[in-house]
Amino acid sequence: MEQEHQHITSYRTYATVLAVLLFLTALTVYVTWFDFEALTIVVAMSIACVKVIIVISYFMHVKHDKLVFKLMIGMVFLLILVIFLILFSDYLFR
Amino acid sequence: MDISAIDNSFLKHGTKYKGILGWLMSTDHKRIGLMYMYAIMIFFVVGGLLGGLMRLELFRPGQDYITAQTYNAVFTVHGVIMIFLVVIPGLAAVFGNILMPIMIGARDVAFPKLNLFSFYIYVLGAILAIASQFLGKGAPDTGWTFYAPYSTDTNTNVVAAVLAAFVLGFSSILTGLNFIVTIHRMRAPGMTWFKMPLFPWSLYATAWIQLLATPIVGITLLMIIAERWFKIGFFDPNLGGDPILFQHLFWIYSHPAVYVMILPAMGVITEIIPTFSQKRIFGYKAIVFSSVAIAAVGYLVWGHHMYTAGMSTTARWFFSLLTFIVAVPSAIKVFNWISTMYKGSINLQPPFYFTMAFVFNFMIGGLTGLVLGSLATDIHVHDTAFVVAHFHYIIFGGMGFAFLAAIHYWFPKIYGRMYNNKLANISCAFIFGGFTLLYFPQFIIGMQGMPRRYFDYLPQYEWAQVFSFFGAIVLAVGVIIMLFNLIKSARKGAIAGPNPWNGKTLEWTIASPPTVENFEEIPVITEGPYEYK
Ligand SMILES: [Cu+2]
Repeated sequence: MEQEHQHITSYRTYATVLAVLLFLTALTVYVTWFDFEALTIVVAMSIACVKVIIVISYFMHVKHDKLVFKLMIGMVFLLILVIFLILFSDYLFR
Repeated sequence: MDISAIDNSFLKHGTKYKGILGWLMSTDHKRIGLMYMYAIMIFFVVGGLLGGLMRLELFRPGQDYITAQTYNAVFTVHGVIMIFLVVIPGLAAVFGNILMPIMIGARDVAFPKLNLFSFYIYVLGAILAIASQFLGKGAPDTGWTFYAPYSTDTNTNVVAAVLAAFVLGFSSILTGLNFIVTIHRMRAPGMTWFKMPLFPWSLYATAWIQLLATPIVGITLLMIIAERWFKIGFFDPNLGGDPILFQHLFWIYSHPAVYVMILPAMGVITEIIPTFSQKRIFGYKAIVFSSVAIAAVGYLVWGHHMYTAGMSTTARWFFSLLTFIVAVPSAIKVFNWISTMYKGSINLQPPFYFTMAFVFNFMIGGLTGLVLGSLATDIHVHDTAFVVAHFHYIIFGGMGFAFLAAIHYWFPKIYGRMYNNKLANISCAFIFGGFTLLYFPQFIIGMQGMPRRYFDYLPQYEWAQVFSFFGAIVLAVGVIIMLFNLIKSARKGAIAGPNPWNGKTLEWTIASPPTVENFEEIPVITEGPYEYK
């Protein structure tokens, strides 16, 4: 019907995405050997966020979708970020 | 009299099957909405009876009819039923389903089968909630908030109740998703965002809360089960967890859930006031933006339930500030309603009386909310009957009265028949009088120190408990009169005609009751929804 439905992602892209995701998973495990103290969660969540963005963009095709959907998903990320910030206004100052 | 409208309506014609299956298997948004309504009415009566049992026990100091343990179970079940089975699905699933597609000029919601599926998830959750009372080692006694670490330690049947709330959450998420897609994709041609009526707007804001906040409580409840079964230390300090984390996670959902209840209520009121003032709504865009602002800021104020729980001072003042900010858009709406009535030609009908009761109760509930939202005064009144009174003023006095207003407003549209006006006004007076007598004294003894969730009390609080008990009886009489009037009129009332109130939104342009397809031809919208004169 509309143009974005005809978009086909190549195997090459998928393979690259998979490799990147596997690398990031390994990285997640690797960083647990270091103690970042208060930043532990920041580091773990940052890596997780990059992975989620890659999955949403490529595997869920949001990269080729309309702006309105990108904005909606962006809003959810913003919400999570704000919730974390407020939550840590408790934990960091207790 | 012409009853052909009723014979041609969705009440007589299923989409695929006939008879009872025509209802249970129906994907018609109106039939699904009505099934929700009947289920919710039944649960409301059950929850109300449990509330009455508590009032009976509190009639005199000391133990009279039920033990302390039973009392704990009764307030837990009262809370779980009323919150998760009645008020959260309440307006959105009932009137949202029945009327939102019609008001935006659609034939159904975007995903009718998903809509029916949501209803069955609701039924499954309800069965689990009821079963949790009888299975295992006694009914849950944690209160509807399931606070850890008690909920991870108590031997009562918490897992089933938690699972029920988890399942019910999915029903809410799917309804929200359905409504978002419906409102984005299925508005009638010409109906721009700012030509959409305000009840669908409020449902749109609500749907985002349902979609984004409910998963958080779902995960939290699963964490309780994980801690109980596998001893994973999320919340229990003995296992290395943090009990305040539970309160954070629980209220990240459960504060926005208050807006899942109250935003559609505000939407209903915003529909009724222009109709019975015969005047265009004052400040359409201000109401839209205040709905969106409530939904957005409402996410960020959850900590006001935790001032005395041991949070950092930084977090406490931050939450208090945000709580005061979220009061602003609510107040904007109240001013808009009053300005709409100013110089309108007011038509004093039952839905309007219920609406006035809503505005009155909501203002008391809202302003006492500020007492609880400010740090210093909350220290004094937290966990007292003051909180109970505030909460019931918002949820029953607000959402409950909006639900009754909605029923009396759309009853002729849904059933094609009119109820007895006089009886409806009498029931409104009884319900409002009983409600005030029941909850207002609780504010006073709460300030004097009567704790909530106690089944016994000092003799000095007895006068208020007696008032409350008789208030509950008056309230029950009002509800019985109302149910009698509505049930009788649904079958035998006078034929109402398509537009008994002279409303302007789309549902009043079609037959009462609507046909299965709602519209013979989808209308083209050229002007705003409330253009009177
Ligand atoms: Cu709250």
